[in-house]
Amino acid sequence: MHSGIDRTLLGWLVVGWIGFTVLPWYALDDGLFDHSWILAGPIVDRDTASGLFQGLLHRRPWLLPLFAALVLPLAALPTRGEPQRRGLILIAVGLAGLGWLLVQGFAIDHRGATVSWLASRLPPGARQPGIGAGGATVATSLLFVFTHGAALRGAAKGDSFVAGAIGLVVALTLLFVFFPVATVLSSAVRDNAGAFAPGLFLAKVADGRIWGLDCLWSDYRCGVAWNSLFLAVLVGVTTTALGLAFALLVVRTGFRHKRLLRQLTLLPIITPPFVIGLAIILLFGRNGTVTQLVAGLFGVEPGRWIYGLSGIWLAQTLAFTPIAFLVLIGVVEGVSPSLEEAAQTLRADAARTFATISLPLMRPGLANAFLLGFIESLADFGNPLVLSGNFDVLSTEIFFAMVGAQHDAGRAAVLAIVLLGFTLAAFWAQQSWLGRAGYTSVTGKGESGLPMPLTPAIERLCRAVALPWALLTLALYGLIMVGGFVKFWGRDYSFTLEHLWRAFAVVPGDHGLVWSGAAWNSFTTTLLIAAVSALPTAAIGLLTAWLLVRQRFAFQRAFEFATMLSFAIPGTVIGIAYILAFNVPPIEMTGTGLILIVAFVFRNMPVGVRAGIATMAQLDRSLDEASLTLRASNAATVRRILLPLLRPALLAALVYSFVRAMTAISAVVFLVSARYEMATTYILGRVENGDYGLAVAYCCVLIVVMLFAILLFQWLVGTRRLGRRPVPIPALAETPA
Amino acid sequence: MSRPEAVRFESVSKSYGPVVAVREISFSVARGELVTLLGPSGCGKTTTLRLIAGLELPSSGQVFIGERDVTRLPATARDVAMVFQSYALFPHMTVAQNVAYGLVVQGRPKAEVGERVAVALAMVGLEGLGQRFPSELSGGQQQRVAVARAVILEPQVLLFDEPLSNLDARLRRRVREEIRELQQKLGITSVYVTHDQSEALAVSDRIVVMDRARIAQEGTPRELYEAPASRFVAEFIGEANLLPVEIARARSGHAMVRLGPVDLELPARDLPPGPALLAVRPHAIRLAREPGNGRLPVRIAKATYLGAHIEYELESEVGAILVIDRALESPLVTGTTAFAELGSSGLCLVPA
Repeated sequence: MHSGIDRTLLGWLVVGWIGFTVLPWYALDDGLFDHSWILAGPIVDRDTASGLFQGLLHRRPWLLPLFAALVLPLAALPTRGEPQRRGLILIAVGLAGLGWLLVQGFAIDHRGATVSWLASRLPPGARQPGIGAGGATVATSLLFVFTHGAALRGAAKGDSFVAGAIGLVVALTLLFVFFPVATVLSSAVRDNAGAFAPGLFLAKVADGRIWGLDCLWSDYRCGVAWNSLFLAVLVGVTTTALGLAFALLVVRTGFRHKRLLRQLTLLPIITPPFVIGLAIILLFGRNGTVTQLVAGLFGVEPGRWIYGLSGIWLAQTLAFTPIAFLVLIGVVEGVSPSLEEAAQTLRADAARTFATISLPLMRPGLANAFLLGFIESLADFGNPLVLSGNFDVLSTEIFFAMVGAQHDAGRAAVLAIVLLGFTLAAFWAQQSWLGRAGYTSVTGKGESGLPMPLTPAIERLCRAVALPWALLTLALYGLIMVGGFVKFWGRDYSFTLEHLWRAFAVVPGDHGLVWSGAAWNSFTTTLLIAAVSALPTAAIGLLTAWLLVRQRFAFQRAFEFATMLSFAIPGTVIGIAYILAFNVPPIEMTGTGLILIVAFVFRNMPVGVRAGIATMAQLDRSLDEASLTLRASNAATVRRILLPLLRPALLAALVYSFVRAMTAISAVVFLVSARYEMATTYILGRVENGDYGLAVAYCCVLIVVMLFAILLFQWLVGTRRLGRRPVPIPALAETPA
Repeated sequence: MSRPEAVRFESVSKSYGPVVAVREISFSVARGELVTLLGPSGCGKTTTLRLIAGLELPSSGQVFIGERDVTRLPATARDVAMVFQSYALFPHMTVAQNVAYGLVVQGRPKAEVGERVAVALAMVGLEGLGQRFPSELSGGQQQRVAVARAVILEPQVLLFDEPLSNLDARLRRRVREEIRELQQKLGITSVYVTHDQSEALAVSDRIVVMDRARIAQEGTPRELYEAPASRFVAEFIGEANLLPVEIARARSGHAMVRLGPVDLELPARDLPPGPALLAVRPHAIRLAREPGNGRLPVRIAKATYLGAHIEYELESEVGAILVIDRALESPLVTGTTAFAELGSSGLCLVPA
C-alpha cells in the first residue's frame, strides 16, 4: 500500500489471466473434475480451449475484447497515481468487461446469434455452449477489479475487502435469485415458441383453472389459487391455535413434561416435509390401521376421504404446528409479568387480565405465527403431492404443468407468479407491518414479577387441545419408525428387515463389497451434495450477516431485503426458475450436481444470515475496531477475531444447511437428474409406486442420520464451551505499575 | 507551534445523513504532545477521534498524520493505535496473544513477537500474567493490557477513547497518572477523549474543547481556565459565576467595566464597549461583613458546610452567585447581608 504496486489488484488480474489463457472457457460435458481437459490442453482442442485461444484459433473473436479488459487495469497498478483516477479506470474497465461478458453470452447461444441483425455479421457456425471455469474465473476477476476501483474512490470506507464482499454477494444474489425469477416472469409473457405475447399472458393469468369459483355453486372444481389460499388460511389458523396452546402449556403452567414438549420443535427440522403425509396414509389411508380398525368395528366401507383437502390440512397442521409453537414460546415469554401484575392490582381477575392484557400483547406474535403457517402451507410441495387427490394446489400444479403430460412452461410460469405473489405479499406483510408492530415488553431491566399462572379453565382447554395432538404427532413418528419393518402395512404386520435390505443392501462381490441396495445411489448423492453445499451456504450467509451488522454502505436496507427474499420464494418457484434460466447458455447447469448445490446455497443462505446476525449482535463492535487499528486488515479481522468468536453460529449454519439440504424436496424435484438423484425425490418416487415399505424405511434412516448430525452439533458446541476454563480464576489484586 | 505536527485536521466535516457530527474543524497535535478532546456527550469528540483512527472517513476536509495525507485511508493503513472505552480485548485470546496481535498480523518473526510482548507487559506492570484470559483480570489490569496492546506497535499517534470511564472513582485517579507517565516516558503523541474536565486538566498538554460539532476553544489547561473564550468554555471548565456587566470603555487593552454598583478595571480581551459577561470563579470572591469601595452587597441565601470549605449561595442585584470560602472559623449566617469583594485573579470577561 505504501509504495510501488497495488498487490490486491495484481492478484485479481493474475487470476483473470489464468482464467483467460489456461482454464477451459466453456462448460465441459464431463465437468471440471474429470481431468481429461488438462490433457487436451487450452490451445488446440475446440472444447477445452481457453478464452484467448477460442478467440484466436476457434473463430470466436467476440471473446477477444475481454483481453483488453484484463490488460487495461495495469494502468492503475502503480500506487503513485491519484486514487480517484485509478479508481475510475478500474470501475470503467471492470464494468465494461462484465458488461461485454454478459452481452456476448446472451447474444450468442448454443444455436448461434439470438438477434437477427447479428447473425450475418458473425463468422459462419458461430455458436457457443454454456460458460465454464475460465469464463467464471474471468467474471470473478473483473468483478473484483470493479469493486477494488470503487473502494479506491471511497466506497465502503475505502476498504477493498468490504467492497469486494458486497460486490460478490450482490452479484451472486442477482445471478442466482433475481435472474431466475426474472426469467420466470419473462417466460410467462411469452408463448411456448418464445415470442412476446402479453395477451396470452393475460388469458393465462385469468384462466378459470386458476381463479374459477365453480365449486361454490356446482360440482365443478374451484381454481387452484383459491384452493391454495383457502388451505393456507386454514393451516395458518389451526397451527397458530395449536401452537398457542402448546406455548401456554409450556411457559405458563406447571405441566410436568415440558421438556419433552419442547423437543417437538426439533421435529420439523429433521423431517422431510412429506413424511407426515406418508404417515397419515399409513394411519388413515385405505389400508391404514385406523381405517381398517373402524371398518372392522363398525362395518364402514374404507373410504378415500384422506386424499384431498382434509388430508393435506391434517398433514400440514401436524407438520407446521411445531414452527408456530417455537415462535409462540418466545411471544408468550415476552409478555411482561409486571404488566399482568399491574392489571391485577387494578382489580382485574385472572381471566380478565388474560383477555385484556396478555392476549392483546401477544397479538403481533400470533399474527406472525399465522403468516408463517400460511407461507409454509403455500410453499409445501411434498404433502399435497402425496395426499392431494382431486384437490389441486398451486405448488403441485406448477410441477405437473412443467413435467407432466401438459409440458406447458408458460402455464407453469404463470402459476409460479401467482404463488410467488401470494408468498411475497405475506412476507412483505410480515416484514413491514409486524416487524414494527411488536410490543417488545422484554427490556434490559430486571423483571421481578412472576408470570401469572393460567386460569384453570384455560389450562384445561390447553391440555385438552395440545396433549392429544402431541400424542398424535408422536404416534405418527412412531409409525415411521416401525412402518419400514413390517411385511405389508395394513395386511401383514410381521417383522421384517426386507425393506431396509432392499434399500441398503451390501453384499460381498468379486472386488470387495457391492453396495447393491436400491437407495445407496441417492443416499450418497444426498449426503455428498448436502455436505458440499453446507460450506458455501454458511460462508455466504455469515459474510452477508457481517456486512449487514458490521458495515455501513449505501442501499443497505435494499441489500438486506434482497438477501432475505429468497426465504420467501417457494421452492417450487425456485425449481422452475432454475430450470428455465439455467437450461441454456450462457449458464447451463441443468442435469449437473452443481445446480443442486447452487439451489441449496441460495435457498438456505438466509439461515446462515440469521444465525450470523444473532451472534454478531452480541459481539461488541469495538473488538473489530481494535483489530483494525492494530493494522489488521478487514480480512484478517474476520479470520482472526470474528470467525473464532462466531464458531457456534458457523456450526449452526453448517448443520442447518446440511439438514435442510437433506430434507428439501420442492425445488429439488425439478433439478434432479438420473445421475444426481436425491433421497427425497427417490422416496417420493417409491411412494407414487405404492412401495410404502421401502419409502418408510428410507425415511427412518434419513431421520436418524439427521438426528445424529444435530446431536453431534450440540455436542461440539457444548464441548467448545467446556474447553475454556470453567471456573474463572479470581482476579489478582491490583499491583502497582 | 514550532514542533513538527503529528496530526492535522483541515476543515474536516463528518455528517451522517442530515446529522452533522463534526463541522468544519481544524486543529493540530504536535509531536510528543498529549491533546485532550473535551466536551459534553454528543459534541463530536469521539467522532473526531475515530476520524483520526480511520474508523470513520470524513465527509469533507483533509486529515494528515505526520506529513502524509490519510484522508481516504482506512484504519488498517494508518499508523495509529487506540485504547477503547470497553478495552475491546479479544475474549478468545490470552493476554499475551492480545498484546501480540498487531505484530502477528504483520507477520513478524515469533522470537521478536515474544520479546516485544514481554517488554510491553513489563512496561505496564503485568509481568507473568500473559497466559491469563482477559476475563480473569480486574478492570484496571484489563485497561493496562489494552494500553500495552496499543503501544507495542510504536504508533505515531496513540488514541484514548474515554479510557477511565469503566473504572471506579478510586482507581481513575491512579490510572490517569499511569497513562500520563507512560505517555511522557515513551514520548508518544496522544489524543485523549473525555467528558470529565478535571481528568482533562490533569493529563493534558493542551485541550481542545468541543461544543455542538465545533471547536469552542483550544489551549493549555491554564489558558482555558484563566481565559475562557466563551460562556460555554467558562462554564464547562471549572465552575464559574457568569454575571452580566457593561463595558463602559476599552483603551490600550484595558476595559472599564460596571458590575451593578461596582466599577472594575480588567483586561479587555478585544471586547467592544457594551454588554458582556464576567466569569468569576467561586474562589475568587472574598466575603466581608462591612461595606467598602468595590464591594457588592449580597444576601446569604444558603450555606453548605463541606469540610474543607463552605459553599455560599448568594443573592445580589446582578443575580445569583456561588462562593467557595475557606474561612471556616467565622461562618456567615443564612439570611444576613454581606459584601462580596472580587479578587484580582479568577476573573475574566467573555462575550455575552
